[in-house]
Amino acid sequence: MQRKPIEKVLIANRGEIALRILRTAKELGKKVVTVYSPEDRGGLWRFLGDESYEISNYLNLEEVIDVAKKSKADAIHPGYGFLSEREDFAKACEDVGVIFIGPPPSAMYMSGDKVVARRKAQEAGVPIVPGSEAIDDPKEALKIAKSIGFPVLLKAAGGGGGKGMRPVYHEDDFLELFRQASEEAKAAFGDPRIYLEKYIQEPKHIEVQVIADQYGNYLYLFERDCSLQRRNQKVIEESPAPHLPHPVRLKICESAVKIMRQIGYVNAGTVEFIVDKDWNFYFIEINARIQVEHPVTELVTGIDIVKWQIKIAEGEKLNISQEDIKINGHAMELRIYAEDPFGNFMPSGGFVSLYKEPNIPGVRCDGWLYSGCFVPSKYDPMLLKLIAKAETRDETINRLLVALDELRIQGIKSNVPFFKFVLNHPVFRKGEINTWSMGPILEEFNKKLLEDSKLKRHLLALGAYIAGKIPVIETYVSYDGLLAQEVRSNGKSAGAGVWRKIGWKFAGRSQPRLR
Amino acid sequence: MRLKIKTRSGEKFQAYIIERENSIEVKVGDETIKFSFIRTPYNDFIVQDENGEKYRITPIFLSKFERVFEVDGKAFVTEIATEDESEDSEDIAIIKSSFSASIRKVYVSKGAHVKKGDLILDVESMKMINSIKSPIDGIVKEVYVSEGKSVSAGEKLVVIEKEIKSV
Repeated sequence: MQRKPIEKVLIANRGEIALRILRTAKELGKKVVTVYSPEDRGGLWRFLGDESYEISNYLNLEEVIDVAKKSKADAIHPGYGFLSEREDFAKACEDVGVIFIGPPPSAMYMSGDKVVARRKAQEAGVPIVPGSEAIDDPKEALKIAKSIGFPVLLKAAGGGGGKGMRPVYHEDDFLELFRQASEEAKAAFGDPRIYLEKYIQEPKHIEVQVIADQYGNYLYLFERDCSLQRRNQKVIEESPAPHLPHPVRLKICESAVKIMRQIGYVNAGTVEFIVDKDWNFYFIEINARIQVEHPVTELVTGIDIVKWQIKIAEGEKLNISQEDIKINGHAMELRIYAEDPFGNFMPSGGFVSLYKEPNIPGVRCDGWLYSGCFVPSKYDPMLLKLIAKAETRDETINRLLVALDELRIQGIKSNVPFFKFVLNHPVFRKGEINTWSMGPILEEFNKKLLEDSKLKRHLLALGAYIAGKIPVIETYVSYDGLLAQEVRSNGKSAGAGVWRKIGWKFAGRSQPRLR
Repeated sequence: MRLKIKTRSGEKFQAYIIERENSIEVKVGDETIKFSFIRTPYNDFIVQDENGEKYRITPIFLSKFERVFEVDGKAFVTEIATEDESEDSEDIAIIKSSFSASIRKVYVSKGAHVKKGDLILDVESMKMINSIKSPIDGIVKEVYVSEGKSVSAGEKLVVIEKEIKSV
């Protein structure tokens, strides 16, 4: 086991998680190296570290390793997504003598391969959902689906996050949905293989945060309920899980630790469970990384998970005992995305003309926006995570509503209007949410939108007029690639179209690429 | 300023707006309402009509076709009329990209016969693949894109026209 203090951390990620890690690394007195892609030249993490390097792509393993060598970083934090769950990346770090802040490659292999993870869970005596091995032949898959019995769930063998996931209710739809899932899995993870699972009706998604040091000490930081999902992407996460009986809570948490012990997991990781109406729980998968929703656990337990990730990687021993960890109050996170809640939640990037975060006690904003920034459409459309903690669940929801009232994101569309609707929804307020709840809630939301347009016409017109005042930046490009910007406001061009007059080509309403 | 507005429920109307130093006058039909206003540091407008009724209007989004704003924290969307609105009718379907994306797959070529619900394109944006299906039975009149191409919001992708059967 190694005990070696880290001096310089390379953060191989972007957006809010890059900033989240950067801040904690600095707090621990580490030097920080960041990377950014050409689309992210305006990203804040580029400017807040000690050094920053441009790379073509966050998924490019060689380029990231090169930056580590060039900057003499002695550790890499991969964040979530991108290279975070790539065993070959963890190995490549090991090969060049850089500490990978995460689980060892062996544990990553066992958790990353969902089929192996299921076997390990069974060995640890934890129940799993009936299912199959990874398959690439659709006809073979259909045969297995029939033997499990419909409905079945298709899942990507190569990674999580809901990418490539499709439920299939009828045999007739199977082949078409298998094709779609396989395509999506290939695009997201470079691996088209799919595996099948029995589809449990109206399930809750409950996961357990675990941290483990290099000396075999394991702690659970209790559960998060992430049941409110849209297209299998989490939308709201909270801790503790509403209505979860305490004996079941302890059983789930202990099961999570058993699985992690079985695979020799080290560092922070999450064990996901699916829970049915009678509080029976089944292991689904391990997320061998820091997760998007880690802040809710941090707020209720008071433990800084990223700090422990770094300390564990340095070889430090966990100095907390399980009895000392308590759930204090209730925390909830809203994932605010650049998507159009009025247009089927299509992604909607662009130029942010005004951004203001709420500054309220008990509210945390993990984001990366600033007034004037550009949200590229190339990446996941998450803008910020709005997280609140209060004594009770009801107070937490009210606090989030106050925070939403002071949050301003102008210039791009976001799902904020949807959150204002959900947080006031009676089913959500009662905490009676499962992963199927989103459908009916969305239907009501869309119906409400139609009713709302019966607002007095004068006010509608006034609102449209006022929205017309948002400044828009237009970019022009000359024949040799030079760029010019014009700020337009209220439909009028500040420079009266001077660039167009001299023959420059209109290149779009956005911010030009920074150099 | 004249605004041609379409609401989400499909109603269309015109409004005439005059902004003065401390007030905005809005005329719809024969009725004119004068709103006094205060502009907040965050671009909100707190407006008050002649009866003393107060509203807070928060601008959110502006494009050539659309305006999004909140009135007292509730979001509203209006469409602003454009010239080529008449193009889209029941006989012709112009498939446009509603966001910037890249084309993953093109299932049809010019001249192909398609049925309502047939796959036309797979587009990828922010790592999500969306399949676009034909909204009508018809013939593919034009395919503007090819696989691997990047498109921006509002760009025309495919035009499908209803087949006119001679009797």
